[in-house]
Amino acid sequence: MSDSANETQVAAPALNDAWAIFGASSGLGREFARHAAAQGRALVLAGRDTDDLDLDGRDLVLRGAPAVRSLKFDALDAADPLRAAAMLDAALAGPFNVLIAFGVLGSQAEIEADPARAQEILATNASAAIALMLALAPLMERRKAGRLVVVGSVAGDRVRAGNLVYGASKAALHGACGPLRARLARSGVTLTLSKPGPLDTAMTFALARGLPLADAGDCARDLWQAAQAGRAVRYFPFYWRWIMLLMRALPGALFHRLRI
Amino acid sequence: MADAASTLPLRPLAGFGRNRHSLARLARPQRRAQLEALVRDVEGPLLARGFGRAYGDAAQIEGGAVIDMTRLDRLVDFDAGTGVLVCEAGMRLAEIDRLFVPRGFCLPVLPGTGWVSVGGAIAADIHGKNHDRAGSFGDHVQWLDLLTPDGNLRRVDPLGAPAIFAATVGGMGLTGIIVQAAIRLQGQARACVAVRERKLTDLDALLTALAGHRANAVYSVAWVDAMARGRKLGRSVLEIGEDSDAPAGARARRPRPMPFAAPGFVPLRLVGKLFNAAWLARIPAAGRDRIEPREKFFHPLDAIAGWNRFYGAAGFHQFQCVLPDAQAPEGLRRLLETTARSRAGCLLAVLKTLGAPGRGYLSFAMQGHTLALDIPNRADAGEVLASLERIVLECGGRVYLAKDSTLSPEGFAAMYPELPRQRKVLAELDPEGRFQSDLSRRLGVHGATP
Repeated sequence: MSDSANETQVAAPALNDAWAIFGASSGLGREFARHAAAQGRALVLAGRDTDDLDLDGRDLVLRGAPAVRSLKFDALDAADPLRAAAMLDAALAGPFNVLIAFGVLGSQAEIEADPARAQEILATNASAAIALMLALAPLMERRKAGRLVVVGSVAGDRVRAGNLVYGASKAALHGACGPLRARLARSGVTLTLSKPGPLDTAMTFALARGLPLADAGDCARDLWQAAQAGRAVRYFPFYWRWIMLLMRALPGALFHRLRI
Repeated sequence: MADAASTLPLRPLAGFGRNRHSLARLARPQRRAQLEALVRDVEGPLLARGFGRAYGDAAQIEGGAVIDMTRLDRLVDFDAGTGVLVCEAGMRLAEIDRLFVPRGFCLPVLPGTGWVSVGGAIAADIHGKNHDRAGSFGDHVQWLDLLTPDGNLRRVDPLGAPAIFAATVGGMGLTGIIVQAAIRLQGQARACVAVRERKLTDLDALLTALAGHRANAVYSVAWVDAMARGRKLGRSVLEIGEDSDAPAGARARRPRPMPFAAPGFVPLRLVGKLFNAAWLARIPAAGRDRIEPREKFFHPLDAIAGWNRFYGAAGFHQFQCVLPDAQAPEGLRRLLETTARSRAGCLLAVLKTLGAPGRGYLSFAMQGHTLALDIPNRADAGEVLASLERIVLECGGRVYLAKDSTLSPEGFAAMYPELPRQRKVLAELDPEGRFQSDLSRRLGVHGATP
């Protein structure tokens, strides 16, 4: 299998306008990559399990991607954002697009039992993602085009006690997106911040049932449209926009008394 | 790791008929390494599950660990010269058609719902509306990669490992986990099916018409009014189809959700009568011709997502059996009479013909007629199902395991004469009996040991 996996790694001229997916094994990352492949885009898949990413690569080529290559990326390795940026810079001469879709949820109960776990979650969801955005920004600015899509969460809009660390990590990520969007816009690069509600992915699989989970494929297609239109923020499903508008408007004294 | 299963969420699981529920730890790996770790580390009984479209208790194991395979759904390889597709077991059949029909290839065998995984299609050795011509799903499998109970990945093909292949095709998931498989697709695929529908007044007329089309029709299926008795017994709508690419007006629509469940007091017998009368009334006396998109023809019930919820909390049974051709006229009459007389009633009945037997020891298909009956899990359903089982046994037929949740171990052993060979492979491949299901326990598939 490994020898034929190399077939998917041909550095082809079609890499123009490629999408680099960080967190390509995540539920949303995989669905977004499939949609990009169906649109005929070349892909770079970044993640830890490159053997499995090679399998995703074969899938994406059969779904219409002209070329796919895998890139080892570990969000907890401080050197990886720069290393990944250098690799993309070398491999992709023209403008390219990026989806940052990695993240960990963590269990609030586990974190409270062992607060050191908070560092790992913040390091992955906030530090690594922001470092990666900053490493990629100059490359994209130099190319004067491209789309950067960052996956945040409704949990980061108004942080709940029951989801404190994850919510705080996404809030930090959201904070970085606004100014970076303004900076990138001067070079013709767009930044779209995705704020999905709970999706039916590995991240939410072990959670108690009951809350409605949206389909990651639907979210990916919606996000693709939003990215092409250069939107600043995209909620999914759409109603979260209105729910979060209400949640943000609630005074803290009231919000933090709600057991939600 | 003490027990990898203890960290997995505990979930109630049921088949599509929602008539038997059991609790198990549930995992849904989306990388190969996660799947391999589960099979290596989980203690206690283990089983793979796809989209949960088996109607009975085939894809659940009380107190065990169930591995949902639906996120291991990648295309791995496709050879446009031979039409052989390699894909992971969690790939959905309708998705294969969606991706490959535009390229001129389609699945040679499609069941009544598109929500079946490749792994499930192999494990149940499913059939479609073209069994006389195309055989069962397993007939188109070139090889499969099986994660065996010892945790090793093994390439299984019919020449290199004939016994394991025959125990896996139609083997209901008991030989291990199918990770990926090579399936030969059919070329010259066309996007639509030209359907000729005609009404038939009774069972004799239906069987005569089916026999007449058997040699030349590509697809054939009959919807039988299972509530009709006496002279009207067997009145039905016969659909004969062939591939077509004439443009169909209708665009593919998203499935609509089932809007309601019938409360317990609603007399489903009456609903069944009304529904079947309406179904028949659609068709003019002279019959009618239509061109339908493939997915509408093959998967008519997928138009309403979660239609199984109509039957409410008690669920329903789908009883499907095959009777040898010689016994079919008399046997079908007895099956339909028993159903129509029952208090539980039957809302939907489907009759098809089957050709050659499948390649698995426990494959369902045999040369004959197959009847599927939707029976609400109410009133005298248990007695009705027991009577139906007796009729099938007397006719030398068999009950389809992918639909079943009530067959007796004795009936099972009598209907599946190659069971001893299945048991021999299971004893060699899985001496500890790691792979089990509620169905395998109920029917005693392993024999005396686990």
